[in-house]
Amino acid sequence: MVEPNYLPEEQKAWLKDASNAVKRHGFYLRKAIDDDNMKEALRYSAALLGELRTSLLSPQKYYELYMQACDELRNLEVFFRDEAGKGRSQGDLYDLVQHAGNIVPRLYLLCTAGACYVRGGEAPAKLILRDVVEMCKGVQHPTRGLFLRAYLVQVMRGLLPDTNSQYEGEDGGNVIDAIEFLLVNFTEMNKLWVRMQHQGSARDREKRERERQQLADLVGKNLTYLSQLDGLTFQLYRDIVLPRVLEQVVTCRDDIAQQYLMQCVIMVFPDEFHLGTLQSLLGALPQLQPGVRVHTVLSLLMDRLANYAATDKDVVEEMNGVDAFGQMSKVALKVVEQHPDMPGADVAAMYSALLGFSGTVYPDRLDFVDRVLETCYNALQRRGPINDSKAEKQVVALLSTPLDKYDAVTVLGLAHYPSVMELLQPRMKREVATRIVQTLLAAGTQVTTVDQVEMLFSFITPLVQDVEGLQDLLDEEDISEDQQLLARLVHNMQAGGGDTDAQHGMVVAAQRHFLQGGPQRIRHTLPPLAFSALATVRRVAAAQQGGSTPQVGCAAWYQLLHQTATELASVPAAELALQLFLTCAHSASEEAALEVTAYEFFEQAFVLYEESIPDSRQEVRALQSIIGTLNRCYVFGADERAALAHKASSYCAKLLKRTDQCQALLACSHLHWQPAIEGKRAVRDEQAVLSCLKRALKVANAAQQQLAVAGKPARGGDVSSGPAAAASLFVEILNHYLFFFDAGGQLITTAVLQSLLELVANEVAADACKDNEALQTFYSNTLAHIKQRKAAGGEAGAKYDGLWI
Amino acid sequence: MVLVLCIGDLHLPHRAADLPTKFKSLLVPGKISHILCPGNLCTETAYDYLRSVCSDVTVTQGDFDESTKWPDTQVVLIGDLRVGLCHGHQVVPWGDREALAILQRKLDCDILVTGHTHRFEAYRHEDRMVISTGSATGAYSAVTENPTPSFALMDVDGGKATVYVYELVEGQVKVDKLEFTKPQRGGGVGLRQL
Repeated sequence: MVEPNYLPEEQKAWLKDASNAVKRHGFYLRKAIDDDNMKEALRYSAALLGELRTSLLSPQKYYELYMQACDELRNLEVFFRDEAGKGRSQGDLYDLVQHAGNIVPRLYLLCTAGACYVRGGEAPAKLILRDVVEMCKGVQHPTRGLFLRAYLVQVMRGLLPDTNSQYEGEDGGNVIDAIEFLLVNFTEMNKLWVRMQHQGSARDREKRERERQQLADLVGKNLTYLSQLDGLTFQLYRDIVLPRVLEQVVTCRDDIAQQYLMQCVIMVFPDEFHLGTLQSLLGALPQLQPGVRVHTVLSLLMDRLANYAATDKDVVEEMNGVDAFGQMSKVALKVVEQHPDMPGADVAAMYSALLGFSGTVYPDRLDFVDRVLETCYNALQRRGPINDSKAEKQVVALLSTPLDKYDAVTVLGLAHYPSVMELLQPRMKREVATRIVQTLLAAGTQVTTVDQVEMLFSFITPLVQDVEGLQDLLDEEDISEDQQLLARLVHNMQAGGGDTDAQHGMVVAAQRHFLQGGPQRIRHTLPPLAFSALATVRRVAAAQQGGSTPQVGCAAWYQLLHQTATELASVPAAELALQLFLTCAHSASEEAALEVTAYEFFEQAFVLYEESIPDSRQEVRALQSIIGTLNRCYVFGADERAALAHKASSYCAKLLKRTDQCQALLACSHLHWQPAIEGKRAVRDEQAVLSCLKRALKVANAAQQQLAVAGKPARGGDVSSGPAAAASLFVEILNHYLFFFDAGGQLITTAVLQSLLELVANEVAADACKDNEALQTFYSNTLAHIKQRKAAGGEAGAKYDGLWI
Repeated sequence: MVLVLCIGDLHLPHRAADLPTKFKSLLVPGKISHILCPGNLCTETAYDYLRSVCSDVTVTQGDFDESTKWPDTQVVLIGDLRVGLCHGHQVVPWGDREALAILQRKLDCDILVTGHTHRFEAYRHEDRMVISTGSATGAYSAVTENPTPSFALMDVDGGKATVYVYELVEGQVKVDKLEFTKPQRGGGVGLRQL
């Protein structure tokens, strides 16, 4: 029989007609009920049910009509129930309704009357149930039959002779009869549902499949009611329900039905039932149609069991007892073997679920993970290279699962992890590599040996260097993102037990790999390595001073650092390299007390300063760092120190802006006056300090003349240009004089300060500066500082006695 | 009342993989109205992170910042307080109180927020306050061994600031509290009320 396939508009029109007819007949039905006219009532019910005989409607439209008819039938049901009170036997009614001429209305009425018959307690439930469920076989049209049985199960579901229900009894039957009823109905409904697939032309298959999906719940209801039976014990489930359901599922040989029903079984029945019948349940899986997405069924089951296991320790025991993992992997393997054309994506998804299961249930069985990866690799490998995006995604997920569940470094060490990864295209390998690094970072997993470093780099090659087939796909931003991840990862590389020798091996190994990455990458990856080395060298130096002799001494570490900074300089990243040289110089001077090494680092920094710093702002910055660092280095002998300090102050004169020159000279003054630190010989050369300060004054004078030519008087808060800028320099110089005066300088006397104060007062009072608020505040703050010192009293205050403001 | 986060010297990712998790969970968006960062975020990513906590971020130039776009010093007005910001590597000798005082006089700020030494310090100096934020990641520092990760939250109410110091000591967050009230000042020199 070929079903007509009409346009939606037509469907709508037909539904409207039919629905109007139902309404009309419904009206008369209610009228007949009001008149207490059984004959008429039955006539109009049959008439309205007759509308359900249509073959014109799509299942969805049919469903709407069905719902409407059901509403009307409820009136009839109430009427039937009331009849009993009027002395008419329900048995009579049960016979009477069978006079309806057409089978569809007749069976609907039979169901209604049957329900009343049972509810009234006049007939044993078991007999009526068996009778009706058999009679319904009379309608074999898929849509009509399906809805008829849906109606049947709906009216009967409260009347089943379930354990402890009022319908249970010697005649009424027991839970077995209830189960039987639901199972038969389920089987019949499923057959009808499956048959629906074969209606109509092949052209509309997709549409029909969609329609069938919408009806799935009608069939599933039977299983839901089964699971809700009070009397359903595990034994009954294992011996009767499951075998019958599975038999129907397997024999129906229909993709949609199998997919839905397997998931339904797993969802509606309790976890402990599944665990007890794992073998039969899993046994059904390989028998399913090739089109069934077994992996989703299997993952659903595994997820449920994993959650179940998480609730109770005993459950895990029980799972071990039935070898749940073994059984599942066997099934997975069987499924893969039986469906050689199963897409790679599904294979990977299934194994991914298995890994998730074993990760939750057996958190310490890494051998399970390896076994899964191995079988998965075998299955995937036979399917050739993985290059469709769905499969790629699934394999990436598969490789990510164990990373989250187990210690990532250990997982990477598994024999079959790399082989699965090898199946991927370079693009996806990069993705997995990113995932690996992110997982390590998120979990704070430490990489503790050289071997682990090497292994890790073998996985993350696509991030570390250019890889065949990937260059054209990545832009600068991608690469920079990757490198930042790697840079963060460096901090997770810490040798076990703080072993500095092992750490050296690890840093050297990582550096070797990073250097393969080219300039674009090493500017990001080398700095963290350098700081990791600097942190270690501090420990090495302390150890050496403590008398122990690590194999890799400070000298070797500084060699490594020198190489790192030099590589950075060649990127070129001159500024960064210069800063790094300076940090190394400080470390060599203060931690290892290696004068020559420290000098060499300074020299390299100076070379970079002279040759590679491109613009004047960066020059100022670099010089600030040079001076600041040198101020903090105590290791140098007089000559070396003089050479370096001289060089640094000669740079001051070469800066472009006078203001920068002046400020740099002020900073330089500190090169000859180091802070006192216990155990270190601080340089205190007041003559040299004074010479710097005087030079600063000279530059300030020059600046003033220059700015007077250039600038209009600056107002408000701006002291960066104009005459006020020069005046501000004078105030700053005054402050430095005060600094050294306070610090105990002998050459800076009150007389010197007094004349400087007068000079500054003149400068600040100049017309061009009077209104400059920032300058005036700076000046007044400085004077306030002097006053406060004076007022402080004691020895420190007494020094200021001769000073007059 | 205004909540101001003072956080600096993160050095991400050069010297640390990330901010300590316990700090991250404290720094939730929506509560803080200003962020003052004296410098050495290092990368744009770290800046973006701060922006995600609060969009009003003031940054000054650090010696290891990739970007050179930040100014060397900044002054912002919060409540009645002038708060100055400077990384501190420019101030020689590094971390020296007198040297920082010169800068503070120049910027005329009630509170100077600085960094570079990776050692948290908050102290009064001549009626003004200095907060050295320390390193939020406890990053390697040339001058401080094993720095303690730290940052400060400043609750500003008019001329009064309550400074909460957050430090990560042996994996536990330790909080200290300090208070600073701006002294009543006259207009010019010599008029300072006693």
